[in-house]
Amino acid sequence: VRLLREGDVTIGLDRRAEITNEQRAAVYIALHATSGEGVRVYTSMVEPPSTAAVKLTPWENAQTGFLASSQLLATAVVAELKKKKVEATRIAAPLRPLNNVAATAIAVEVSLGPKDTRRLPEGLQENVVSAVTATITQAKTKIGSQL
Amino acid sequence: VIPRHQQIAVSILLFCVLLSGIFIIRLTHKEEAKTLEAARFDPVTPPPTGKTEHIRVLVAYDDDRALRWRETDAFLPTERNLRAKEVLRAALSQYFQVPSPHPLAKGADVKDVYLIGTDTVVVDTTAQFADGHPSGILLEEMTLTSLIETLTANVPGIARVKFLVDGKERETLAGHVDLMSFYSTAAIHDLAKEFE
Repeated sequence: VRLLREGDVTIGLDRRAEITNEQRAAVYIALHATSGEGVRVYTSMVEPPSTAAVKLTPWENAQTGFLASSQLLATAVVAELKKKKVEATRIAAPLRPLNNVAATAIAVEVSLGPKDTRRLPEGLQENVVSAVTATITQAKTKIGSQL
Repeated sequence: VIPRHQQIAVSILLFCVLLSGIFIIRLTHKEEAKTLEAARFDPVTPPPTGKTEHIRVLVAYDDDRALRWRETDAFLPTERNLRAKEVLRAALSQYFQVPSPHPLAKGADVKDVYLIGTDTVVVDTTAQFADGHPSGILLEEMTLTSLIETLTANVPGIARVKFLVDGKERETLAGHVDLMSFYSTAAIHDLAKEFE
């Protein structure tokens, strides 16, 4: 496991994808916190490159070849969260830098509750972490050997 | 008895005052004439032709994490890019109602809409639209989906949409959702269904 950020430093969106691709990561997981309720698991809204005969993968479409495994992983994470009685949904999103990541990639947005207290509701952090890690472990066979 | 030299001095002063008064009046008239002349040659833009229409706008509701259609009246010019601009402004105006279903920053607006060919639209927004937008994947995604779906519902034939902020490209709306890409309206239409 490699953390892109270990402190409060800003890394550009393109650079995040570059680091992930350079590492040849199997899975990229972006974690976000926001106001509202529930947990949402996002996959890219990438479109296939416009020309079928492209030999090099365009930067904007790097996720194309991994979209199916990303969707599979997102669905599995949502199912795991629901088992833990956490309200969760899977949605596609035009989210950067998911489109540029050449690996299975999801983003998990965890809500801080209706009144933004800047702290996650009790137990939610543990539930999200265990759901994501358990899913990656369990889904290894379903998604493929790259995991 | 007023001495003669004083009488002459006062007379000269009065004559000077009268002369300068006449000069000032003539100067004022000359300037007014110049302004009128210049105004006659200023290009005058005709008021946009169009009519008030009953349109559908897709509105984001933060509390329900949903998008729902609302109906509203808007004056829509016949020119396509002006029509697109007014349609987008009609959608944005929903968010300035009290209470707002999806609050946006004061000053969030559409500055201009440009058509590229027949099916591509570039929307230039004010800086406040992005600078003051609440940060969060869902909130940002709902804003863009609301605007693009409202646009395609009321201006037929649009296949791709791109957003600029104050005339320039920006990486994301408020840290998450992509503003660099051209959005396919078909893909956004599918996404909108997930929020209904």
